[in-house]
Amino acid sequence: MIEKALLILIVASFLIGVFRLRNLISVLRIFKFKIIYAFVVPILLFSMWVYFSTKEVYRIDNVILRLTSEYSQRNLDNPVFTELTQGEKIQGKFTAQENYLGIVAVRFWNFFRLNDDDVTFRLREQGQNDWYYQNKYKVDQFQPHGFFTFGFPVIPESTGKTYVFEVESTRGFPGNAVGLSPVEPAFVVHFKYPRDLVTSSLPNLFNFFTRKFVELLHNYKFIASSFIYFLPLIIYILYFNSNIGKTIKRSFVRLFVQNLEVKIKKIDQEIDKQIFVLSHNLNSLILRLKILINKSYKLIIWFCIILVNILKDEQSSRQVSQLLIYLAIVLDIFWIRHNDTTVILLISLWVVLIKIYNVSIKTTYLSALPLFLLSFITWYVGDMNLQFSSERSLAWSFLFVNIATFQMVIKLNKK
Amino acid sequence: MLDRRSWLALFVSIFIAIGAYWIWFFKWDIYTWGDWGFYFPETSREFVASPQVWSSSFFGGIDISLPLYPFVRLLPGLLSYMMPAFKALHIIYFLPSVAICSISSFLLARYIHKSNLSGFIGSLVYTFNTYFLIIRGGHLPLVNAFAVAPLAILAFLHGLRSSRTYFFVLSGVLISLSAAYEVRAAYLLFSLLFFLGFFYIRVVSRKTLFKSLTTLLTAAILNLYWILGLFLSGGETTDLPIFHRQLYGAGYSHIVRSAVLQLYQWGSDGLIGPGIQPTPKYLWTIPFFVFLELYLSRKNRTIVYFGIVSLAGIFFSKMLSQPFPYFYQWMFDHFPGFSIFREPSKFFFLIALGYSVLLSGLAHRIWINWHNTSIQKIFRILLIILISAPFLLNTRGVITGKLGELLKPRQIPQDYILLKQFVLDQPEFFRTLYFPYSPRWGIWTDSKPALNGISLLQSDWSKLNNYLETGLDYSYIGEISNIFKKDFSDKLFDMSSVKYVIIPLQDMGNNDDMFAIYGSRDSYQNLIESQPFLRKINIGINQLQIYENFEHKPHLYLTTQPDSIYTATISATKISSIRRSATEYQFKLGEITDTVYLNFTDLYHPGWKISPEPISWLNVVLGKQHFIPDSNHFPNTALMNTFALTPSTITPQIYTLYFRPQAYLELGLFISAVGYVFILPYLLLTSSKNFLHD
Repeated sequence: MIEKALLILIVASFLIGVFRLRNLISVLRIFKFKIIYAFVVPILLFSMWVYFSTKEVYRIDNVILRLTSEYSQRNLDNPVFTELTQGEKIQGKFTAQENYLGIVAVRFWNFFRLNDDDVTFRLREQGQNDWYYQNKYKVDQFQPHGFFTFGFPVIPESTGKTYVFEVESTRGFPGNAVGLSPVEPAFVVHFKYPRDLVTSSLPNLFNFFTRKFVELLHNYKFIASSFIYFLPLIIYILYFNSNIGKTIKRSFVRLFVQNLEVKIKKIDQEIDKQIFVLSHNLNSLILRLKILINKSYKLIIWFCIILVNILKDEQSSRQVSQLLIYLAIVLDIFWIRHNDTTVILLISLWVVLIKIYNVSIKTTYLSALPLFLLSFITWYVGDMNLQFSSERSLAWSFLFVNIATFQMVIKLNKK
Repeated sequence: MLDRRSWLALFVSIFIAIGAYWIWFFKWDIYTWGDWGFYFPETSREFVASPQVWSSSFFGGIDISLPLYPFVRLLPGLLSYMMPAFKALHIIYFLPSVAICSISSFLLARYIHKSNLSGFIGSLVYTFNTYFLIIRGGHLPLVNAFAVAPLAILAFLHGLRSSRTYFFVLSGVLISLSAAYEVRAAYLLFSLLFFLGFFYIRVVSRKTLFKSLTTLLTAAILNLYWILGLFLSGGETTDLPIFHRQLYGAGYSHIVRSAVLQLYQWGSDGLIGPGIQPTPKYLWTIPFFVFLELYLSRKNRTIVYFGIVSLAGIFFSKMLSQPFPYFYQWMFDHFPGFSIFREPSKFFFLIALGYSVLLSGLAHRIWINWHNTSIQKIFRILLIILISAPFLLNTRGVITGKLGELLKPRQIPQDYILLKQFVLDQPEFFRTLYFPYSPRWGIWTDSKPALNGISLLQSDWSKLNNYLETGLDYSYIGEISNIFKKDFSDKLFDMSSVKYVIIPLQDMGNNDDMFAIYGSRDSYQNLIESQPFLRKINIGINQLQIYENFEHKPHLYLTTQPDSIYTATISATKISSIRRSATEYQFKLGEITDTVYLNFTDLYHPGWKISPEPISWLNVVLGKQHFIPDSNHFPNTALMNTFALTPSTITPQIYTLYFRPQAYLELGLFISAVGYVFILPYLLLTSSKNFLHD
């Protein structure tokens, strides 16, 4: 609920920032309230990115003090995706990357029905004869292609050890059994770090969150989602740069560019000095290195200035914004696949583009076509994972047609 | 009006439709399968009666088929006096599901695009899409309701364009016709028309919009009889199980299948396959062409409307698929009336309707624009063939008679004809109970309701049976034998007026072997034969096994103490009564000196009342009818009605047992009848004027 409210608030503030701009500008001039466009809206959009990215971390791990490792079907012994009947087993193996191993979550497929079976989960360290843990679970709680978590007493010293687990059906029969889902990753393991340990000292806290950050950087879904949540800010800045910046004197973009230009002058002076010194001291390697670094730095700043100047043009801003949304949709199709928030956000952004850049019906409509073709191809060539992408791709195609139809209706009503 | 070329195009469309379903048009045999049942004439002739809120079938209960009264009861009943009942059903359901479907979609597409070719393509798409082809194999009321829909839309659209009240009224009548086949279809149709009016709000005058309300008014008046009967009877009939069912269909609903207009059972070979079938590649051309036309016609308001209809159809029929998978559940839980769509396939109708208009538009566009060079002329023919090819390919299974079991003629086994004679020869009221499941050939009438063993144990008797086995331990025979293990099974059968328990045939001749699902026939035979209160009887039938329960109770009987399934058999006095309808019985009571109990072996419902006066529905509605106090009415342990009659409340005279909600139905029926008296002559008398004008 809070998430939705915040999303609405942020999108609303974004829309206010963009749509009502022209009307509000005169008012703002009077009150000298430029700060809203230059700082408040970007800060709000930045907050949105932070909030939704944090939510995504929760969505991945459920608990913040938890680290996760994902494993593909290669880590299972002869994975089959048919019904798991009485006595049949799913067996897997993994090497723990962390301490405090506490959960193994396996992705199951319930064949879209409520099955009446119990499965037994067992876990042991490789080389041990006795099972460290085993328990029975009713399968009627299993969600289609969802992870079912098997929890067990936390193993504090688990790093580097290899564990074997199995899931055995006790009463399954054809028509009444679950099976292994063909969707990747096949299973994940969670490491539950004790709160006391993490918060006991600053180095421990830093250590844990560094690990967490590294883990997230390896998570495609998180990266894709985070990128999508960051898009409103990028698109706002692009628009701000090309439109609002012109209107508001001494905008931060201008300041930014001016500062860069001043910086380049300083670097040039610095380089001249260094070249002068170098001419008297031929063997100074450090000086040569410094010149190289300064030249590289200058190059980067030039690149920034060129980029900012190119994006001052409205058409370039529009094209870049569109491309970024297409990129986000592709990421959504292949990596995210199940998340309404990203869909709502990207649709809103497209509607914003229509409003601010007058994106035509043709452009919106044509955006649907490659997604339709992508859906067709992935529907036939891929496995279950690609079929999910096919579904999402067609959903996007469908949404673009809907938006274009909405544009048609508005145009018809205007006439 | 249609010119000669239009008539020719219409004739070709109908010819193709009839050609595909030639078996139904030229072989008037018995076709029955799955949910599509069979009536003997003795059953259907009883249908000629006024509509009743209470059903005579099974143990009684609120008749949720009440809105379908015209086509489920009245018309089959009337036609049964002229021909066998199966032929009556043929006329009412089988033939219109093909012919009306083809004609109505032709007229709509032709009207919108002003092109005979469009009419032809529209008819092809609407008649031979996978959804309609599959539901024609069992859900004929639904397909007939959808068949009427294009006509209702056409009338409404023309009303908006011409601003003539006549067409709005006609549209209202057509909605009622659709509702008489299937209410859910009419709900969708009404929503479509509402949206159409809304969509045209900017381009039509206020006067026209005001006139368009006559559609709603007409439909409401003509359907008021069941609306009042079911929903405005003081809350006694509103809590129907149909509104509390769980969603299903998430497993097979998918946006890809919705977009390509493929019902999940539809296989690449044009036949129905088991489970979810792979999507045939050729179906992907359909959405491509559809949305191409939507773009090209973006300036045409009507086409955009049908585009939105298609998109809405895709969105709802995909159910839990992407995007926004939880929206359907939300609508199901919160939107008024949406809970009747517990399964999303009905929304395929919207897709079929939208696609038929859009594809027919594209064909017309190609035909009129590509005519300058001979290459263009060749290509336009090829493209039109490409547009219509998926739908022509779809007809394969129908032509060969392999698409479903409803294309195969059936024969009534001789045993069931003898059983019918045996049952109907007995004048008194009793029920027959079939184990495990009632066959389609079993006779049933108002005074001889048939009960379905498994259904009964899983619904009305489930709490009494209390069979808890699930999973591997569950079996149908186990569930059925469980009821016979109860101490009260004998009394339960008695108090439910079950006179005969019957084990049906293994109907291999009609490919209808229920024992393949429910377990061996011998096991049922052994189970029933071991019951001491059931005695096998021989009526000269070969294979049907019939067992008589000699102590069954009559429909109405008196006892001196409350009868219960948990007590020993007590003496019962049969009350002779006159059955006026399923909701009204008259009986005479003599003088009583002590409290007696009147048992009525229909399911308990608080709507049943006893009145000492003749019933007047108006008095009931106005609250002036006298009934004995509600505190004297309670359910007995067999779940039937019991009335405690005390000397203070009863005097020797004629009493009426009445189902109170029926009075509200009568009120609605009166208004609907007045509506028919005015509306139908108006439509008939002014038709030539209105149609010639346009």
